[in-house]
Amino acid sequence: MSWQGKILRVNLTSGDISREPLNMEWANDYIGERGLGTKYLWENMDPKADPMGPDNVLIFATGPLTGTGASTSGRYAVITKGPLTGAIACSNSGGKFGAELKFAGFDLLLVEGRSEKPVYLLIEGDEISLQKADKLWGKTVWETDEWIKKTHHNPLLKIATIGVAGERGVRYASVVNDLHRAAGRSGVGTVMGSKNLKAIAVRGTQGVKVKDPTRFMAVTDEMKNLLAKHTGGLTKYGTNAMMDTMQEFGGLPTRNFKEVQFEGYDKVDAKAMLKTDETGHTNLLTNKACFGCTIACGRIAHIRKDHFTIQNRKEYWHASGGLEYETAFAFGPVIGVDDIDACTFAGYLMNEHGMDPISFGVTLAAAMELYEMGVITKEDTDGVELTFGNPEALTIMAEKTGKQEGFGEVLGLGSRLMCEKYGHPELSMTVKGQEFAGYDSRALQGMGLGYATGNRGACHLKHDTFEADMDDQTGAGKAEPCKTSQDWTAAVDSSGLCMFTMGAWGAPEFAAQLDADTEGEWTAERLTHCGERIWNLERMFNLAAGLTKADDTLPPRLLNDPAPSGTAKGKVNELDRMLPEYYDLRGWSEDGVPTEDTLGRLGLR
Amino acid sequence: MRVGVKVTGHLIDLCSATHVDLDEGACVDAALGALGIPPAQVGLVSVNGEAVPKAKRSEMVLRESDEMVVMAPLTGG
Repeated sequence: MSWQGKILRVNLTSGDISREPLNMEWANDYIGERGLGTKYLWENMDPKADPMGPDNVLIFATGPLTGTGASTSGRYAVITKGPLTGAIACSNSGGKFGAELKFAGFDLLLVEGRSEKPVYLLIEGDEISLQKADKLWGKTVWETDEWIKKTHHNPLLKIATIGVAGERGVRYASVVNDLHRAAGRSGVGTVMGSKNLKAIAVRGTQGVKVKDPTRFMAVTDEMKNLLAKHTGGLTKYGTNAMMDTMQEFGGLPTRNFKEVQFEGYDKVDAKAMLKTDETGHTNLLTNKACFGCTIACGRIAHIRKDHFTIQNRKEYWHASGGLEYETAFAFGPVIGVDDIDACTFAGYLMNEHGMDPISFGVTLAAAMELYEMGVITKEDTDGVELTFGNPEALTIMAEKTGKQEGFGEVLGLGSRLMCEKYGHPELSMTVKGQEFAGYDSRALQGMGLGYATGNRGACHLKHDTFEADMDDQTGAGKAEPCKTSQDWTAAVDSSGLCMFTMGAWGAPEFAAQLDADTEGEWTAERLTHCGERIWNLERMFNLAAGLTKADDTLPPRLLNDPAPSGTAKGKVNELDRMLPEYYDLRGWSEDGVPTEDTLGRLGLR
Repeated sequence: MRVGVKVTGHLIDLCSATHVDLDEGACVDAALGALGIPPAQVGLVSVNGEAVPKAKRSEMVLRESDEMVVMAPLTGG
């Protein structure tokens, strides 16, 4: 129940499409979504395979609660080997696509091989086919969505697609679904493009069945009420409500992490989005929810029509996805820009062309530092003044990168390869090749440990050490909350629900919903054990791919250069203190390898 | 005595004060109480830019003209 019991396997090389029963043993051990996708990836590919080659596998996975009446049940994940890192990539999205895949009868879609020519996958009820995408290749996300719906006379199709960035190999291309929700991180769209797979369009009509409908309704109602008591701030302000907290805390990465506070933060934060200017324009129009969500943190915004970005481009005079905290950070403080309309426009471009805003913004920040150092000049940047604080540089380079034109080709490499190309790898603010999110780990020590040990590279979403980090700004006592929250987040990411519920729901609340929904007995203990198993399997994938302890580190700037201001002024990240304790807690060797005992305890031997 | 106040994030919906008047010797916890901000909704307090850990809120004595920032908890995203 609630698992649909079926997976769809599509071989793009041969064109074969097959339905297979879901491996229930794996479902019981790995839950769904991130965990189940990781297990299928592990069993279906060689971790040493080229991420851009036909031997890489691309998985779209739902969770047992996806598509149900539980709040935030619109989640799905894309799991593959990532082109930025060479490590496992798992990127999670909301919207409606995930639920629709479930309604079509599938827990998981596994894509292997590479099509000779561009195609898209069409799932309309029981009819599944690969369609020629020659007319779609070169189109944006938004054009693709419209074209497929019109061509098939079906406005109810839910579409996950890549933009031009994914086609042309931008290393951090995303998969965008429902126009402006995205599996944004780790280059999962790049892998999709490398397979010549432009889009997946799905319309399902089966619905889902839960184990105990009466209990499920009662439990999920109770959970929705609990959620409402804790998430009002997210509904009203969205995630960008964190901007002024990060500013005051002194953890807001500014100008490529050279600073930790940004003087223009209040021009791009949540309150700025709500402010009506002298012309009567307000950036934020409304909020929006993903499938089944009772939080509705999504932002829908619009840009002043006289702003330089769109004054002569009526095609952008509409409302679309607005700034979240990470996009505001990546187009604002980290590149020193305080122009909210430019930031909003750059966000549109990320969705339109299919790119990760965090990786783009942090790569641009490194390019701006290289420019200000004189390492690159206007001759390299197509005549653009690539200085910190220049909003035109932001929007011009966002378009150039999305279309892979001029200097955009360099920015499309990501920060690590770009900085290596110019002889300054120390300026790349990445872990394992993936760019940092908007939290400076000199102020947030546990965040730094989470970044360093992140299985998909630098990531703020795979652990939660905020409470410990805010209360103490040393490395003491951070390994335990980091490890525990990594395991717990892996379980949440595998359930089909959104991690933004974690402030209201702990393990017992998740377990209660899963237990009413899904076969077997689900307890908080079982869920956390599954989470630990998932984390360790991801680690095993990375070790098999060739990563080592040496990859669990931070850039020298965060380890050596003290925070110049804020509540952590004078501090550096204490990774050397935290990492051995973390390995020990995990049951790993000093080299960061799970011991035989650990593997046995988790059923991974 | 008067202490300057700034709040961040969604706490603005609980407290729009820019200052708080307190008795001499009042601590951070007392200031939060006077402002009507539930301690559970506070991520961190800083006074004059210095972090005040939770365990120190009942000990940290405020002084005239101190600047207190009450920060909402961080949640990721």
